[in-house]
Amino acid sequence: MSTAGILQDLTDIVRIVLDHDDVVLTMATVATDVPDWDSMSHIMILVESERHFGMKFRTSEIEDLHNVGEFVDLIAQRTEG
Amino acid sequence: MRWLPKPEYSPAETLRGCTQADEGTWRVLVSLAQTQLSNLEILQVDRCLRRLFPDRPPAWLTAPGTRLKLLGTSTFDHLLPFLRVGALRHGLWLTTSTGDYGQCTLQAGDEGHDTVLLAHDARTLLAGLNAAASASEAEDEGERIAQRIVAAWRDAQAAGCGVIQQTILPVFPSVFGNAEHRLPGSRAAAVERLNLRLQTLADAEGVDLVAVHRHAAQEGLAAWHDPALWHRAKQEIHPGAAPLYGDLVARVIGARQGRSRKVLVLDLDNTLWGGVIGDDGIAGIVLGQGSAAGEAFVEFQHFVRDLSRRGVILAVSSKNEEASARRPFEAHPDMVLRLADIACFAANWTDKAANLRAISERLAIGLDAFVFVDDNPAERALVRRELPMVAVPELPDDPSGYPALLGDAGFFEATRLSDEDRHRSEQYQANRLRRSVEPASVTDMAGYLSSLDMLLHWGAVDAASLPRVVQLINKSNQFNLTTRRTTDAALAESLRNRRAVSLQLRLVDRFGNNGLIAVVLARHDGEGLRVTDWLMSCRVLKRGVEAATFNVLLAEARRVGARHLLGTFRPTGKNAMVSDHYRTLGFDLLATEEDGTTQWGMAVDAASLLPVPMRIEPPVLARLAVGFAA
Repeated sequence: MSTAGILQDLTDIVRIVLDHDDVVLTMATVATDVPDWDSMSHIMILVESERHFGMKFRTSEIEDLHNVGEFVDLIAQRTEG
Repeated sequence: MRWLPKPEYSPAETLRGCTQADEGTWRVLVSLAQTQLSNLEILQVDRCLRRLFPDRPPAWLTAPGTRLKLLGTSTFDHLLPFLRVGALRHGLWLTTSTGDYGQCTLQAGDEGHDTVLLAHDARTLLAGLNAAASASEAEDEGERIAQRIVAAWRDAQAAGCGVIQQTILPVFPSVFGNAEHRLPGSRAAAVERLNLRLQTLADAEGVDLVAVHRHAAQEGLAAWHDPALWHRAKQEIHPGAAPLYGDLVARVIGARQGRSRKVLVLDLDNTLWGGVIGDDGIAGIVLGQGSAAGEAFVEFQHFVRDLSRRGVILAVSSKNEEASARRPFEAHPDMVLRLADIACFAANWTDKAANLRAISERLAIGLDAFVFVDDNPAERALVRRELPMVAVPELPDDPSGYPALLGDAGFFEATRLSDEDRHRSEQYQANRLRRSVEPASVTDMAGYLSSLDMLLHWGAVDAASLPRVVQLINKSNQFNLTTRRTTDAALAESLRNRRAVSLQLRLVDRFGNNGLIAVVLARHDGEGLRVTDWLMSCRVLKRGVEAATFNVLLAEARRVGARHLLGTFRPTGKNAMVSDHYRTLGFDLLATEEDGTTQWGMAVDAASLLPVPMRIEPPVLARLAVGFAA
């Protein structure tokens, strides 16, 4: 799956979880840029991403993420592997 | 929740249409909640629900609203939408609030709710138990924990709240092995003991339990709990289990209000036994020892009888001749259910929605207390469409899965067993209600049939279809005009005659391919096209296939230049349902013979196509035009 495709799917998930239809994610977006992206919705976004992309993230991987781009790359790596 | 059907339309699309806070919208939301939705879709349903019906239960609901307060030691914000939508699925309105994190007792002055759900997480609750504890230390600690929980119940009850307690999730791995129970300080063993203890205490204190530990045992702990999510977010209940968790709580709330379902209406053929009693006969149906499927049907009947013994009222709705539908109950040695177990018996050819209405009237129990179990997806779709208040579970393909499915769906949730429950089926028998039902149809069949998106494929019988055609000819008893049996060789021989006309018909609908469902054999003998055999699978009865087959037959009559269409009905004792078949299609009665055989005819020139609720492939219109031209 392409980086752009992953970013688009991730955007769809974030929009539903946060209930903001106009959220636009870029590779540089960080959670604090997005209204209502708090620790509770963060967990939901991670869990729904795991379900959507059919993979499970390690706690250490999650804790290392600094922005959306790193998350997209993590998913892309896993999709290839 | 595999018993829920898939939504018919896209949930997002449906939600876009939900803008008014009226009863129609409420019903749309309830129906949507009764389909299989992803967690994100449930989240969206919840938002719509809270936007339109935020503060109080809608005026048209007879059930009181529930204001639920969650108290516990883990994070459960992620469960709240699922609790509200779970209630919605049961037609209930519910709001939620949560206590401060880690707070398990109601604080003074904390008001605005009528029900408290206590959810203790296992790790916090058993933190004081040391693996090195002696038996008496472990016992003391267990009792201290239990009494702390009871104290929280009493606080909530003193504040006027009903109490629901979630059992303790068995999150601890074994440290001792198979003999875990012999290690007094084992936390895994302590959870087991505590859950047993809570059952006794809850009975004494008037508290109802949500038995998550039993579901974790059944579905696997991994489906209910992920240690990673506990460490990351203190979520003890896995988000994947949230929809079921919400449903379990809603079942308890519904049962407390007496809103659980009370009547189980069962189809017969391929639901209580394998095969079709009207065609296969009592010796031919699959039931009992000797086949895995037969044993599975027996086990399902045992399960149904258990339901009956705990107070669920049983009824039958089957498309059958009444006498043949009753036969297995009276005479099959492996039947577990007996006629005495059935409060209302409806075996006829009228649509099932009409039958369910009639059963409801006869029993004087509302349709919203009904569960309808039928292996045929088209029947399920009809009942869902016509009677949305009836619960209609999806069934697994294999009958061995029927009992677990019905058990898991929790339609008959109860909180207490009363003496009345134990004797309910006897009461219904004593009231002599167990009479047969024969309703008049008031169902919108046209709308239903067009929703099935049917496509009828037809062609002459060829080498490829011959074996299946012979099979259908030899096993059809009910929808069979002349009941003439044959063999592959004999049929192949007669089809070689150049005056022979044969039709084999296959039906596809939105649930899939029904395969070969009807056969017509005819011969052009100078006078007209004489139909010698016409038979059809009862599975597709009342779906317009008879009329569509007639249209094809008429086209064939024109193609071969026949001036008349001629048909015969020969009674066999099993085919009474088609005695008026030709009259219904517009044929004239020509003669009645001594044995009851009737002869029918129709002039081809004067005949016209019948309206049918399906596409026919190849289309007959084009062929008719050719016929007219010629």
